[in-house]
Amino acid sequence: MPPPVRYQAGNGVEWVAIHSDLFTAISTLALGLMISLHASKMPRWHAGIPGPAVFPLIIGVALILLSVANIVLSLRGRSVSRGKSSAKELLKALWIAGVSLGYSLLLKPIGFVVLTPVYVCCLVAGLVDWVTVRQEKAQVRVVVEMILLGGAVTAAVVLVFAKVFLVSLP
Amino acid sequence: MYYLQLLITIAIGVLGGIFVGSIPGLTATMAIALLVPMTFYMEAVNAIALLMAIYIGAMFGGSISAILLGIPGTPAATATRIDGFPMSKKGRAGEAISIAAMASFIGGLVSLLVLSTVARPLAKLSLNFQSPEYFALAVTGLTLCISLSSENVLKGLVTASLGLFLATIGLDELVGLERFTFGRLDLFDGLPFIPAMIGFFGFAELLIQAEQILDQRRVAQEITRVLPGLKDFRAILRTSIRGGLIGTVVGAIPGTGGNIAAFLSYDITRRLAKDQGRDKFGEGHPQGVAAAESGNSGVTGGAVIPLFTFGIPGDSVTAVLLGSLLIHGLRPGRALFEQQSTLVSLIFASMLASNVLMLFGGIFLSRFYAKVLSLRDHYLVPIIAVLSFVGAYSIRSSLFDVGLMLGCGVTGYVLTKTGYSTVPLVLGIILGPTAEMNFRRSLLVSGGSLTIFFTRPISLVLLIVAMAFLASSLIQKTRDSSKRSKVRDQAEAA
Repeated sequence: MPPPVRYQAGNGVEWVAIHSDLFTAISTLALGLMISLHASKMPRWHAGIPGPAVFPLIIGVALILLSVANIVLSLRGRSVSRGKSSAKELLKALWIAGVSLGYSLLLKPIGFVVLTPVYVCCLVAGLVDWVTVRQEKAQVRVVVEMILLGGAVTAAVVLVFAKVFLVSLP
Repeated sequence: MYYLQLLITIAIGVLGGIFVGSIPGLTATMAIALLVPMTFYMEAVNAIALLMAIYIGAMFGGSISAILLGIPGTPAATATRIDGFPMSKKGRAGEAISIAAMASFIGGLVSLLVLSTVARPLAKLSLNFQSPEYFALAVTGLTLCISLSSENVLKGLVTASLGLFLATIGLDELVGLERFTFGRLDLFDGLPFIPAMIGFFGFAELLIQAEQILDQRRVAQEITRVLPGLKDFRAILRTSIRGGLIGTVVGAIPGTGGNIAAFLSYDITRRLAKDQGRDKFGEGHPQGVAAAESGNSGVTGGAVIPLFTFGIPGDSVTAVLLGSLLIHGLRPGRALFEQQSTLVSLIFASMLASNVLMLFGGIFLSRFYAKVLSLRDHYLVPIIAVLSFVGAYSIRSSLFDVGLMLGCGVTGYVLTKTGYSTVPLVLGIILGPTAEMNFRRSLLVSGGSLTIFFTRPISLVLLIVAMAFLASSLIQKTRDSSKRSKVRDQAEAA
């Protein structure tokens, strides 16, 4: 069995990676407290029927107990996370999440047909490793391909959803 | 005309499923989650047939990249790689794909046979079920899923609790009081399930895959001869039937999935092989490919058994399928078989058609799929992202749902990266209403006493099974964790 990698607190990403278990467990603990607090204000019996508070209260208490156990395990270094990401990898995920957030906020004011090709191009631009695509010719090819992809994806979605299934796109 | 339309729908689903399964990183769950909004506008039979076709196609599709690239297209194809890739390196890539297609077909057929035989009598059993039994069944399904799909049982319990909590959002069905809506009208009918599912299974997986994007074309092994010899075909027949049966049984246990079935089938086949043959496993043995593929394809029918009979999904794909059934107003159980028997028969027939089309598509289109594998990842990510947005928006034409999908996606990404499986979470959302309503109804009958769950035999047995599974996997995983800590401490001391 290979020994698990233990990260040294070198840079920010590694620090986050080491403590991610703890942060998640603290977040679920906070959520458990919120659920319990909110549920405690609801009736436990309502007109002779077990009230709406019963089930959320059980879930809230369970979440608190489980989160405390996870915090203890995490502090003792016994909790195992799925593969940690390098800074470069994490940036790719952050780029997609950030661009997608912008896309969802601008969808209504700008509209699907105009915004989607831009969104697709932004995603591709962030995912292509421009360092390896050094030649000018290759760079032009990537740009042309992403513009074509943006147009094609938008056209296909409009055709299928708006024309066939009659969904009104934003 | 109707049947032709259904057949075309199935063909599109199978070919699409093979495509999705063959691309490493794209999973059947992701594809189905993204397509569920589209099926909202279809007839129930066509919708379920399309989703099942994608499931069946994707289960086989994973083997194509496992054989041609040495990279399993889906987790279920990991065992196929063991003998498939060495066969491919020996210049037998086409034969390996054909063997995989034949074994998948036989495995799928066996599981369909078991499904159609067992499902109706099992559904009748649900006549004996009342509120305490339904609550116990939901708890058992959830705990089995946690025990088998989570690396860490405690974390699995956390995500299941999160799912159960999300299911309580909205107006309480029994007394009509709002819960956790924070005044938002969009949440009064409950948490929109489809956008949440697209977020957890589609967008979260997209973020994880984006981290591992290869910025180069994949190079697939060349395909020459396609059909295997008669000797190989004879050898794989018995293996595939056995694999199909193993897959069906494994698939029927909630939380297992194709990966476990494929490895179990492969291991049993290797053990049963004669001494000389056993050494050839791992070096490109056709029976190795057949065992793995029939095992994972057997799951497709097996996972549907608890779904159709009790409304308990066998894996993440059937969890999404359950959502689709509910969208079309179909409630699994005895009523489904009695009131919608034509629909159930049509779904079974469409599964048979999917398996047949998968066989021919797998054998004769393997050269085309080899070309598809050279598609660059950074062109796939935007397509999935746009489909996630459109899928989330299209159900209610609501931008709130888009935001919800995004939020669930990012949450799913963080949870997955920190070792929390999102499968129990989604299952919690699906089973939450069943669990809560039946829990409260049981308390109403018993006057608030919890003993009602332990004095009824079926409920008691189900709860004992649930607790036994949970306790055993908790002990097993605590032992594994202690071993890992010891190894780490020894490595650090050295």
